[in-house]
Amino acid sequence: MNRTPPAASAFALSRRAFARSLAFAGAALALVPSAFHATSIGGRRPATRLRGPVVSFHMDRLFVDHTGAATPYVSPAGMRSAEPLAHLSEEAFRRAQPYV
Amino acid sequence: MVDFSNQPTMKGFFAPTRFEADVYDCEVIGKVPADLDGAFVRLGGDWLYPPKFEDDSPFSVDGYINMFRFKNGIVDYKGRWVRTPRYKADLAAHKQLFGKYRNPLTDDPSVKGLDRTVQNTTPLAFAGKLFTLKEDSLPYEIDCNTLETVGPWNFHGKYRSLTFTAHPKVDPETGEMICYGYEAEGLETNAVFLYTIDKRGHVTREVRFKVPYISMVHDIGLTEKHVVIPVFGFVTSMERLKEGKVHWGWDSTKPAYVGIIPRDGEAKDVRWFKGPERATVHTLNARTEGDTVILEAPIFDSNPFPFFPSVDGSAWDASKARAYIRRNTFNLNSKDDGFTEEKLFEMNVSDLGRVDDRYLTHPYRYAYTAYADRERKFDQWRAGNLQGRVNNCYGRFDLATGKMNSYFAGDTHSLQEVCFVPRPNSTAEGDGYIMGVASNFAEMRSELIIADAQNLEAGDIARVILPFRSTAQVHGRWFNAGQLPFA
Repeated sequence: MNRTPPAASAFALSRRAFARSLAFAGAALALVPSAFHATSIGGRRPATRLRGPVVSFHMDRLFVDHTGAATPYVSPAGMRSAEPLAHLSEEAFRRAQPYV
Repeated sequence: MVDFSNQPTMKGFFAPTRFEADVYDCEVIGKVPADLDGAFVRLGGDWLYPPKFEDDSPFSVDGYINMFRFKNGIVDYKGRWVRTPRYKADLAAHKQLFGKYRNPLTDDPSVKGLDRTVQNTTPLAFAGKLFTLKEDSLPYEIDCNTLETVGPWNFHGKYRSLTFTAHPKVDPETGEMICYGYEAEGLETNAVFLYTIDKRGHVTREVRFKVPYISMVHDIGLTEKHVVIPVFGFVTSMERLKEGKVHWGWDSTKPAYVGIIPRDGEAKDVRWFKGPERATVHTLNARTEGDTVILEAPIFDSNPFPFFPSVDGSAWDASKARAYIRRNTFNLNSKDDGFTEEKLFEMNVSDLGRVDDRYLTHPYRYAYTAYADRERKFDQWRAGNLQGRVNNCYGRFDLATGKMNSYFAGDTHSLQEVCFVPRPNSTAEGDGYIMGVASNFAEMRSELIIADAQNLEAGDIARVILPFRSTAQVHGRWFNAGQLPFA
């Protein structure tokens, strides 16, 4: 059965883990030059007939736009700046920040 | 070289800022009231070097004072570390030399005997001087224009306690300051020295008495006739310190005591009332009505601080670490040592509550504090998911009617302690502004909120924007131009 991928999705994959995976996926990416170009932060996607997925990072998470229509997202400095503590238990959070 | 990379909770908005700053003519959204001439001074902390021990208390953070100076509708910002002997020693060594919270036995031997205070709790303006306060040492004088550290202050040599509270009370009628030090004779001593200091900064009265057990006596209540002294379940001992622990542990078997002493009384006049397990870290106001003393405060059921763990090893209970505004009533004619407690509002609040200080010691109507309104939207996609953990509102709590008015800071914000600022030339209670700093987690910056205290629902009158994160504060105070010799 054919399934249409969502327009955009996020993966719990760190930038470092993604970079490691590139070593294995490099050959495949090389075959899709326009998609590879789009991964460069701040870069503009060149006009091309071939639309590949657009990859962005936000807070060390990988975001993929499967339509290929987006430009890579570059988050403003500080966005989601409370996130590093979001995963903490109530006790661990209060240990770190008694008066948020 | 300094390295914070292995501090998992010092990331993002919560990373140390590690710089000192001057911002002239700050960006403002709205219009700053032109009649405000003075400064909102905040004291908190910023780690110069990472803590030596992973399980240390965040209250060991190096003191950092910062000030929003208001004049003619313009606001300037300035921030400086408090240059304590500890700060200087760490900087010279390029590392953290000091160990756990108020436990010198965990320090590097090279700093033995050095004043280890961090001066990170409350700013004070008194007798024309600006001070930083931390309850483990004397006050430190600060130049109110440059925020440079002058050094410790002992009130012309007549203040004998080795420690000074972070919460002295200034009587609005007489201008006297009632203050005290606990563990006044040194580490692990159970003496409290209670002082009256005249408005020129001279000690006029000293009373020495003992507390039922050595504990954190963080704040007091002051009435026209009495001083109210809460003592609650934080315990300490030399054995704890020798075992390398933080100064305080929580003992749930300890009753909460409240001492009441006439302002002109002696040690023998202290009367101790006794109640169930509670933690009254901060007070709102107190008053004497005939033979009754009334204290109102945001009070916790149990230990509010997980970094001061239970002495019996039991787990910290978040459900009991919520503060509720309560009224304690003490009958001075009673034959027993009990007192009554009423919960005035069913919602829990930040225990950093304030009143209109002109009404200190008197009957009053309004209390102000921050709280978390979980019904309000929190934009976790822009701020990070702290839904339900941030104080997104300031409330004005009407103790006469039980009603509450609310100010909402925004869907990516968390509010630090509120401060009430009287409108110049007004006398009516509550006529003025509320002021406090909001952390904007989406923009990675701090914003000083100014709102009309009588119309909180209207939102802020002005918002002073800092283009960076200012250090987290513990307490902030407004000092008008008549209190300090501002340039």
